[in-house]
Amino acid sequence: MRRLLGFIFDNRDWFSLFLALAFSLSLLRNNDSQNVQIIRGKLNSVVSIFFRPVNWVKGIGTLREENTTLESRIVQLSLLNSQLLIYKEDNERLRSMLEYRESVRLTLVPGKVISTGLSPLMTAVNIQIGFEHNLRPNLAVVNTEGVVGKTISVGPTTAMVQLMTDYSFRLSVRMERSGTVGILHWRENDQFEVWEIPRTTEVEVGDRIVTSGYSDIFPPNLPVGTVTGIIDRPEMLNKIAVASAFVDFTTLGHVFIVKEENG
Amino acid sequence: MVNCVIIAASGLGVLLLQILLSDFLTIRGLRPDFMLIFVIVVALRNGSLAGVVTGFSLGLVEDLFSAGSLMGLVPLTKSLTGFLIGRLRGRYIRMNPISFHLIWIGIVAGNFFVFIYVNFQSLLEMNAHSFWVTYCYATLYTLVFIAAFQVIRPFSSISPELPK
Repeated sequence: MRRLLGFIFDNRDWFSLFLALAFSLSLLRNNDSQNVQIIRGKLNSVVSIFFRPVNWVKGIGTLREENTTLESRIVQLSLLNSQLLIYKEDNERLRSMLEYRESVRLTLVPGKVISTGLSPLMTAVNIQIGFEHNLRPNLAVVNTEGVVGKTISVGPTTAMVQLMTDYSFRLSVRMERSGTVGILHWRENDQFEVWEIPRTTEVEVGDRIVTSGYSDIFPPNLPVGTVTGIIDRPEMLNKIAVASAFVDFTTLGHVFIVKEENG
Repeated sequence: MVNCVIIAASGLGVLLLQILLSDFLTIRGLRPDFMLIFVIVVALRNGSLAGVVTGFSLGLVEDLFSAGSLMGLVPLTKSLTGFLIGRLRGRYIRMNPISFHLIWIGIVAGNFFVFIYVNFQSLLEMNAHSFWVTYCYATLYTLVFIAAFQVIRPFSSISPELPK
């Protein structure tokens, strides 16, 4: 026994490595465990206190720029609003003529981004709302510019949002003009690609891309981005549209969780 | 014992530094990994055992406080990095300095490869160019900070010579 203990002591660095690797692998194996998610959720609520000064300084730094942008946005929106009011009246009249019954409406729950984590890669953020606001995983997350991502785990007071910039994120999207449907894959910077576009379909630079609605998570017609280029080679079965996202992921401050309410 | 307390207190300081600075230093969605730099310094100064313990502990904290990452991946890569870098302790004088520097750079590159590969396997299959660009940026960004740290405190002065 003493010899065994002596052997372990002499090779303590190897044993510590073995234990560390074994524990890490067991954590990786139980990654989806509910207990692990609860612990992470609770810790993120605590650690958000440390992120407050960072968010405060960041908020001050971007305040002037944000204010200017918002002012111009208000003017644009008020112009758009007056136009939409006319459309709304037309729409209501036509719907009543068709006896259209509105069956689904959207509810937006606002949430503040409290941390972007410590990982060297920014693919998810934490927001300051959770179970208490009736959130659950797999809800669409948007901001005033467009689609941001989806909730992946929800704690009592915080929720984790997988950003569209995560390379494993997939989204069914539609070209607004032509109606062609494709699959979004993130590329780099603010660029993404839309795959599976039939070669016979017409796609042009400048086309707006919105969510297709062929998803349990994302409702249709949420803005996603604009086409900036098209990859179409003879050897390819389908076209690929290169696009830039509407959302600026480097300055995420407030987001909205989209909840569907069956009316 | 005193050494353990110093390492733990410094580790907390580095964790705070990572929390406070990482957002301001984010470029293309990538950040410098100050905690990895700390693991390297501790491992070079105190050896493999301290490297493994520091790497595992800070990795676990990073995973618990991080959004979206796979739980257990960072402790795995950081403890392995701490162990391997710790094997270099005291070897600076005995080795060719170029080999010494190439070895630790290789270990850091390996650490990032495992981390990025596990997170972005699908990207490698889909768009290998983007994968390698992301990998190179992530590795180089932290290496730049290690180089800056070396100007203040070279690794040769951190790693004491072992008794013969």
